[in-house]
Amino acid sequence: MKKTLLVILCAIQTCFSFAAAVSFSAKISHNTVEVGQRIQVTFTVNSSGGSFTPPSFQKFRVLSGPNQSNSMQYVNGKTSRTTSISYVLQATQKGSFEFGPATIKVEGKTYKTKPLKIKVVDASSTSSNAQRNKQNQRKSDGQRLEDYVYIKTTVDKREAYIGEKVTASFKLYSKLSLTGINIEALPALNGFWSQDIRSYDQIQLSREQINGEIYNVAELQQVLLYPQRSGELVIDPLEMNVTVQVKSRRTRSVFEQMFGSYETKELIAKSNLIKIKVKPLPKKNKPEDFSGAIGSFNMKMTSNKDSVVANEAIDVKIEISGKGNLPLIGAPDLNFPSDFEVYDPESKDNFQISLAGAQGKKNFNYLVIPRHSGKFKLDPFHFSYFDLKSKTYKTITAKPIEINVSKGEEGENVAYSSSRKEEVELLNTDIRYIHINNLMLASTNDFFYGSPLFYSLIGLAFLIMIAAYFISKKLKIKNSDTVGLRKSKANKLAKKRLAKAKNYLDKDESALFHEEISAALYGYFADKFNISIADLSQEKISELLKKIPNTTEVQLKIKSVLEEAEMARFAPTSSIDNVSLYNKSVEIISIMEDVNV
Amino acid sequence: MKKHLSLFLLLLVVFSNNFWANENQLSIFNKANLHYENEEYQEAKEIYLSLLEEQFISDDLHFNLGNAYFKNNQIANAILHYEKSLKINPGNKDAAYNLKLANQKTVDKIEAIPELFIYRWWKSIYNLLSADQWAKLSITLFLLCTFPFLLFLFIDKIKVRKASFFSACTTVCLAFVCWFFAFQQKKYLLSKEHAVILEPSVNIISAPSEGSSQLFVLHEGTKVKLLDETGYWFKVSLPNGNEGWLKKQTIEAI
Repeated sequence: MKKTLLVILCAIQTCFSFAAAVSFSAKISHNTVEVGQRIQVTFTVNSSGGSFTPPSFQKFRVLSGPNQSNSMQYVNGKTSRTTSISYVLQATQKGSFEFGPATIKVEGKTYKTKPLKIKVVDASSTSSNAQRNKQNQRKSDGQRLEDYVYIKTTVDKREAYIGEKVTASFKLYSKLSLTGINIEALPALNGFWSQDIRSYDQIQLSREQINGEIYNVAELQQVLLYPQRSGELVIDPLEMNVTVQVKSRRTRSVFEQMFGSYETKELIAKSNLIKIKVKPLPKKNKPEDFSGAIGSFNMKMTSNKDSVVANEAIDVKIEISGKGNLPLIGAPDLNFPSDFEVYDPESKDNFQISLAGAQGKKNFNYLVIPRHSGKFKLDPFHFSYFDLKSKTYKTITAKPIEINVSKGEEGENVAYSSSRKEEVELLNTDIRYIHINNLMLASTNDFFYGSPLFYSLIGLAFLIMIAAYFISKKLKIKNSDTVGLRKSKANKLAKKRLAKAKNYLDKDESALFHEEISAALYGYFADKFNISIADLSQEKISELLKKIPNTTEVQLKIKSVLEEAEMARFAPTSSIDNVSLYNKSVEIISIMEDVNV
Repeated sequence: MKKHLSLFLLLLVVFSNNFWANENQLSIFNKANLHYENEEYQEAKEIYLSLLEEQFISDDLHFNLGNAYFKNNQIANAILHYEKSLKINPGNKDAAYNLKLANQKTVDKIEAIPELFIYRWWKSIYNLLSADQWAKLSITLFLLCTFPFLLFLFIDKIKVRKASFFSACTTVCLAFVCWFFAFQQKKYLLSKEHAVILEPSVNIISAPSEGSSQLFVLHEGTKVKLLDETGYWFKVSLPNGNEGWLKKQTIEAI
């Protein structure tokens, strides 16, 4: 019982789910096709669609698609939607193929189609007799078609320098009347800079006679090429899908027999591959500033003002005119004074491109703003190009431009003067030259510092000083013996003599006393002044004493004592008080001891 | 005494002969210079390098070699030899100028953290002369100082004695300072503190092993300070304070 209930429930469930199910299917128009035939693949889903992923149509050419169509039906109050996505494919290769499943995601669920099988056969290997006939005919048509319809690429030269213009034109020749052309593959033109002179949207039709036969000629494309590297460059073939009208031989009806019938045929026309040998530009005499301009040019450099106020803009214009690879000429680097603020140049093209190449003018506008006053001279600009006629490099030098900048309002140029001056200063300067004179080469181990010579020289200096010290000491000792000792002994000697004189005085031996007194005095002075007794006289003493300050009183005293002593010696009869003479002598010596000589 | 003096003079002659290179090597040097004058920089460079291999040390040689490298467009090597030239003779103004020019052609622009001004002054003073120049100055001062010393010893006049005493003292002090600078310069000359990157682009990594995380990239011609080394690696620092490890063969010590 329970089981049956479950089964019923299940059945209901499945019923409902069927009702809501999304069906996603794939259909193919033919299961077997010939090479070159078309097939249509359609994917249908009964919902308003989701994210659709087609299978890969490898080995088939997609002629059109995805083409989407939507339909909506309202039946018995029920709405059903159908979305179909279709592709038109063309078989290109023989064999059996399988299109993988296409997937679609609807409301979070992913649905898949069954894979589609397709067999592509050779045009001739069809089973049906009639078809074979048709195919045979077609094959022969095809052979003829190749002869009747072809594309030809022509170039104006097969050898060129890098940057030299080469023109290539693609022409479609057909003896049959053309009903349609479609581009399949454009030439890649690797290694060239290219510019269309005329493009596909302006195809020109004309008639030409070749080998006595009249051809319809369609000028497909003309392109201006500038080779960018040396070596062998290839202009790839241009592929086109061409539809032509052919007179049909097989007639279906009387009308056709009478008037002839036409059928349209498709074929793929391919142009010939062209190789161009590109030569590098000669390296000899190549100017350093050469930047790839080739042709024949003229150049002018002008400025719109030659005297401005600081911070006022100037337009400096370079105009390059002539014939050559004008489109490839870039803005030249101009050396402006570092006090100029320079904006990126603006370039204006004013040239025509034709089969003869590019011709006209190219302008570069530099907006510069001098930030400081002064007289500035713009470096003359050199423009170098390769002249194709003479096969040499040529350089045009523009006239130097002088610009007088007068001082503007203050405070405006502060922000710009803080550019790194140090570096600006050193721009465009060469390194200093090598040293040539007074070269010194020392071995790594021969340092003067730390060498024995260094230490011995220092030692020498010290030796001299030490030696000098000892010598001076010796001399001093010698000096102090003669003078110092005599001085210090003067007092002692004098006292001794005076004591002797006192002795004579006591004994009343007057002559000896006088002798001793004068000897004591003269001896004392001789020692004191460090001169010999023979040189000493009364006058000499007073003369020496005069040199000593504050001794006038003493001088007089000494003079009188010395005179008395002299008189007593040589005139003994005179009445000289010996005792007072003695006292005076003692007094003089004691005074003299206090006097510094 | 006379015997000693003649012995000393003999020593002097022997040393001075040893000190300067012989004529032959100078003529090789001049040959290289001639190549340079004829703009044959490659040949000049090779001869300079051969002279360097003979263990010569000369700021002129390094300067000229640096110029030859510069003209050959080998900026990193040019910088290396200008630096070497300046290391031997910090007073080589031409080398300093050309180094400045060469440095402008390098890729890395590193903002240096400014050094303490005292350190900068100190460095600029002892960098005025090379080790040998300082040594010679020191010797000259020592010999000069004997004159005021003799005056001090043998002249009795007090004023003369005072003046000579002070001048002797100052010259002796200056002589010792110069000696110290000479010592400092020689120590610097023999040390390998800095290096120049010679490879076009060098990865600086965080540890001395392959596969360590890359910290930054340096380009040829950049001067780095050597901090440490292990096996095939150097630890280097930049003037802006960044540190990292690089392979030994990518740089050459100044």
